[in-house]
Amino acid sequence: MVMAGDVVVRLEHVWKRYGLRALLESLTGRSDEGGRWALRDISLQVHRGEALGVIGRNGAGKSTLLKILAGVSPITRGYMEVNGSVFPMIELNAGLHPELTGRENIYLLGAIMGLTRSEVNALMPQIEDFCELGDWFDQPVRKYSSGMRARLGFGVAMNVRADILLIDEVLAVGDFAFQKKCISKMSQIVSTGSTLIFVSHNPYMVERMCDRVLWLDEGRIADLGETGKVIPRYFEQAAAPAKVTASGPHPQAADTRPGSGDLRITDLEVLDAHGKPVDTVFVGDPVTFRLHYATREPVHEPNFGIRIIDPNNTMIAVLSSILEKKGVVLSGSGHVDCCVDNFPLMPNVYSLQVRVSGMVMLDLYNHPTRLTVRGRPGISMSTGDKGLVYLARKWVWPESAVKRPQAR
Amino acid sequence: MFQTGRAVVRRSASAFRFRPTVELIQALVYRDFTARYRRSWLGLGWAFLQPLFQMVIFNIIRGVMGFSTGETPYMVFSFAGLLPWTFFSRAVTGAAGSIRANANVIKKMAMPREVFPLAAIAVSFIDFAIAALIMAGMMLAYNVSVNPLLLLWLPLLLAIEVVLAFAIGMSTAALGTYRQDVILAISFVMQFWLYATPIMYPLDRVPESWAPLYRLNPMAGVVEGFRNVLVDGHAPPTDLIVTSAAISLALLAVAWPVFRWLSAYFADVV
Repeated sequence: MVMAGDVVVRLEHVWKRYGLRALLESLTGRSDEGGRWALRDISLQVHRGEALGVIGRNGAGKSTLLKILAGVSPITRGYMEVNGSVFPMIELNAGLHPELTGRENIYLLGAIMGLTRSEVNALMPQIEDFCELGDWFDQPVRKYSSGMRARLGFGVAMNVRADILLIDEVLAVGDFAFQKKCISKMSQIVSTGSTLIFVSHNPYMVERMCDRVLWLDEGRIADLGETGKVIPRYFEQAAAPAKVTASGPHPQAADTRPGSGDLRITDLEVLDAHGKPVDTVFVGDPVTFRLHYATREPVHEPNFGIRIIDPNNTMIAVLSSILEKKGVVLSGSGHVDCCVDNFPLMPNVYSLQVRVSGMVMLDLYNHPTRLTVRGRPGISMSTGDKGLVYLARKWVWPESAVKRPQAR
Repeated sequence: MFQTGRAVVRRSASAFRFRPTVELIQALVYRDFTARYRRSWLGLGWAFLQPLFQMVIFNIIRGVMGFSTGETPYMVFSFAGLLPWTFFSRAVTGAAGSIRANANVIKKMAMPREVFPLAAIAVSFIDFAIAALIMAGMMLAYNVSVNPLLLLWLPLLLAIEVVLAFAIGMSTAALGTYRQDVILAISFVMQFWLYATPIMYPLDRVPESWAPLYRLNPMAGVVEGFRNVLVDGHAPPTDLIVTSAAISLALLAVAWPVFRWLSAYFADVV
């Protein structure tokens, strides 16, 4: 019996490497620290009823961590203790057979997930209901869309009872309504005392679901602690300009870009309040985007759209000139400014793209440098504000609720 | 901190529970068997066709080589050998490919990896059961009478076959996860093995000088045993059966621990 607050997962100095070398080392019991390690010196405790998020870049060791916890892959060094049953919801549609119907595949998935046939029978109405597949449920899976396939896996997984649930990026599939359903089901599972270990590329999702966050970087623990503390540090580090700029999109030569080319963007500058070109701005500051252009022939009423895109490839904003272009004719070369009074995006690293069109599409320009947005004192995103945008606000308390020092 | 020495893992819940494991094998067999025939015209007919075709080919070859099988019709003679052989050969190749074929499951869920070769062997056993019906039909048609008591040998012969197929299939599967050549090579090995076993020709056609080596082939006893019981109407030669059983068990005693050890790493390499 696992009690509340008990340690359900304990890792002590766990190291993990892949390949033949790990295999040979398991024979001799001897190894050295050199070479590539997927996990390096991981020590961690997870308690019952906790939701732990795991973040980090690709190749940081997130999936490896889940694999060793699931017992699918062995650790190379160290000590690991897992108390309770583990259920991995790793890419759930593994094992589906296209020739079998949805229902037959549920039996198969159930068996793969360790359920007996009578357990699946008992869960079947619930699963069928959860999948929302209707008549498709008795059709061969080869006719399904990928989203429908994912539902099958979820239908079983979400109804399996386990002490520890491992979830890896599965929420990326399925439509929005179904994702929402899964998230609420997961919260429900955690509230019944199961432990959740949740791997995601999406810090916002982790923020929503998890109490604690483990941040992995190149197989090491970069940070581990309360969500509210680790996530802002993760963003700060992701915002470190030197590293990120280097991996930004390459500037594409103007003649290979899409568009007719009657007008080309020659450069984009981000200017701060003093008109100085910068690549880092602060939340709430005035920011000006200066678009330098060159035309082949005069362009009437060009529509510029500056697209601001976050690291998850979500287009956060498009600043369009569509309502302000009336009567404008651009010729020769020059620049246009797009001024934002209080830049409202949360700290992160954004890519910038500019699309220009007139009667036809004229240009699509990817800015080679990313724009870093940082927080600043007085704006409390490290502890309180979350999400994609920062809204300037003022809180108005009931008069009687505020105790002010008496003025003498 | 880097510690040397072996890794230690403690789990309160074991990956092995008897009932779900057995039911998993059933589910895998159901998947592989039904899925194989679901979108075909002949369906189950294919399970009959392969041994029948092979029998026809053997008949042609015999016509060329011209050896005698005494008063036993060659059709019955060769099919009595093909029946256990086809089971064995399908079981081995199925088991050998089973780990790779189920890679996407193995990468995600912990379960005793033995279920995959075992399920593959069980699927071939269904094919065997179907082919056994053909055998029975042929025996009726050719008026071959059989001593019912002798049929009691068949479970033992089949058990030897299963052990042997499991041992060879699982070691091929385990090594094959590291180097696929092993799996590709197994079909050549099986072809060679087919001719090194008294299936298309009688055991007494084997040259005397080769006999000691030939009799080490564990399938020789099984195939000869099947034929003795079904066609010749006498018990299999004890020495051959003992050799078969001993070699099969010895192979299993080596193959299983190796498979156990390597299977922990399957998810890392498939």
